[in-house]
Amino acid sequence: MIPNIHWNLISLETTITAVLALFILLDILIGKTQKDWMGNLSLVALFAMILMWFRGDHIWGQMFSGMYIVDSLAWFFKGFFLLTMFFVLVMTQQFFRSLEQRKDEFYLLLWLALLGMLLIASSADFLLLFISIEILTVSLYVMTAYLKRDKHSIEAGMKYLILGALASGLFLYGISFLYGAAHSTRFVVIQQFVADQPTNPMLLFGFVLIFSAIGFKIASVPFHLWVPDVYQGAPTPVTALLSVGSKAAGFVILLRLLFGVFAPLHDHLTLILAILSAVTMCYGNLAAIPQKNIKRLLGYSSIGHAGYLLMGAAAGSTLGAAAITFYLLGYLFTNLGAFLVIVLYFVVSKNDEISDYSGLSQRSPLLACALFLALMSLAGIPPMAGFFGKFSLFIAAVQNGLVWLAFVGAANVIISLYYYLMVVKRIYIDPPISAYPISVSWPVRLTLWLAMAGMIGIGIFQGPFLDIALAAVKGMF
Amino acid sequence: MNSIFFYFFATVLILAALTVVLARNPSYSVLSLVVAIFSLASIFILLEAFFVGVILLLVYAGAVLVLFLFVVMLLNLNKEEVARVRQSRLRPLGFLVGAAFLVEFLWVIKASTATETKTPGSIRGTIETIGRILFTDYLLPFELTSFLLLAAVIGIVSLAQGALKSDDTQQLSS
Repeated sequence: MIPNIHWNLISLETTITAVLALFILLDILIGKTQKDWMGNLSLVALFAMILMWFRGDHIWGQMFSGMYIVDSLAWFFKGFFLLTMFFVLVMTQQFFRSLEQRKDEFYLLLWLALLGMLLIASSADFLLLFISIEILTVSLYVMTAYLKRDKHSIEAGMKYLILGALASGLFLYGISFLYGAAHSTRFVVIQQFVADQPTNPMLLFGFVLIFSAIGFKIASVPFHLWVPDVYQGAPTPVTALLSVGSKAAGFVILLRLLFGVFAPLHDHLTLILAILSAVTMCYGNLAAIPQKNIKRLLGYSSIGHAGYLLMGAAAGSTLGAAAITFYLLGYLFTNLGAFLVIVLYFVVSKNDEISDYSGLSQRSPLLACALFLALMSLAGIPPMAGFFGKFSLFIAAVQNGLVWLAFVGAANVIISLYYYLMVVKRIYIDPPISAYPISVSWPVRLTLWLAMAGMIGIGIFQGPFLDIALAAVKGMF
Repeated sequence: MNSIFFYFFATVLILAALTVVLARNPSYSVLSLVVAIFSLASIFILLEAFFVGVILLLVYAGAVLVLFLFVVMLLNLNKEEVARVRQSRLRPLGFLVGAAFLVEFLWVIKASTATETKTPGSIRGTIETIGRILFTDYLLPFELTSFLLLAAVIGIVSLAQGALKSDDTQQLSS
């Protein structure tokens, strides 16, 4: 029996396949040019997809006998990944302007990574989930090592590949145990099995293995060791994609598993998740203090943010899930804004050391202002998106009786303020290392304004955005 | 009769797997991995999963391991490097984690064989049944593996092309 295909549900993914085919053909026909036609065409295609995303809202359903589902959570995160892709494309265009390197394959890999992320958001079967994760990570391995002349990039790619392969192995091994217990890879079947026999040892063992693999993706503590080196060595647009796209993909899986498939186990997991969250927060924020490279600093800070987000997972309520979603939305604008500034500054200075950022405010007030706002939002200063995100995560934790965890989180906010403010001091107070002003073209300027509007807008008008987050997760409860 | 074969191949599999990890020379490791895959394929064939067994032989023993062997021989690892890895201070920690994992694994197997009463029938993995499942129930993941391969192909092309400019080749050949 050939399955029925509802093209409406899978329209975004099929568009990507068409875009890929078109790009490969055009690449052969056009050949070598100096023009960045692939980047511009990518942006056009992405805008078309964002329009499709708006039009396709509220068409829910499932396909391939429940293997591929589109619900409010999947649709929200599909939009999330499209927006991430927009920022990363703008960064890529700027980043490669300064390097003499072919970038066509980079765009193809970016599109493949987007395909992987969109599919992860819709997976309701472990086999499909595994293949989607692999599509995402294989393209990320290659993109990380893309700067072949830079030994840091090669080293980062190698480290990411080896540890990523280990994580994939754990994930597959975990799936094989779940299959052995429940005789299916489908989420609904396994969920039924968990409800019947929550303490089946094979099931628990499989869950632990799968959770380890997800821990690798979101960079939570026992599986975080790859983060600093990979973040520093990878080309900056890839670092941005890793810190937002890949992490959010990990959290979609975590939301689906913890609040869906393994929901009956959640009471047993609360303490483990809470401890992981506390350790991850403390490690990320304390280790960030002595860092001298801005990408490494943001790498450690992204470990810290994984810790804050795990707080929502430990809380386990509707509010916890909504807080994770809301926080990720604020984090998207904040972190991608920060990375956009880093890319623009790298194009001028060829350097990512924090000491090089001295006096940025005198060379380009716009870049300095954007980086300042992003760092304040990452730290969680009141009018910014990061503040209300952390606030809702803390409330979710307190409601679930994890008051101590909220205190650890609050202490971490204070620790993180220290190293974020050290960067701010460099930008605003220290004398500039060079008097040349930095010029920014108007499309990039618009993107920066969009990022800043996101950071501030989500922070001030929390109501509508929190409603969006609540609507996204309500399908799971 | 079947069980004699099973125990024979299982013993060979375990011994070969141990040799993979314990052998000092990397090429011995790869060669014993061939033996391990061969006995694993035999066990699949004993379970009447002919297709899986044959694929395992063709893909792993045939293609992947030959590649491994080439890489290991071309890499030409020197002895000092290997000795340095062996004396790493993290080794006891690795043993500890490995032992904990093994104990947990054995416990899981023991607990689940105690509760599981029904014995699985033969898998009957013929090409026809597998093909039918691949093109109906698992159509989407099956088609998506092509994108996984596409990512790998683009990756290899972009990492390999023009990696060696003239000055690099001179460095390598000298």
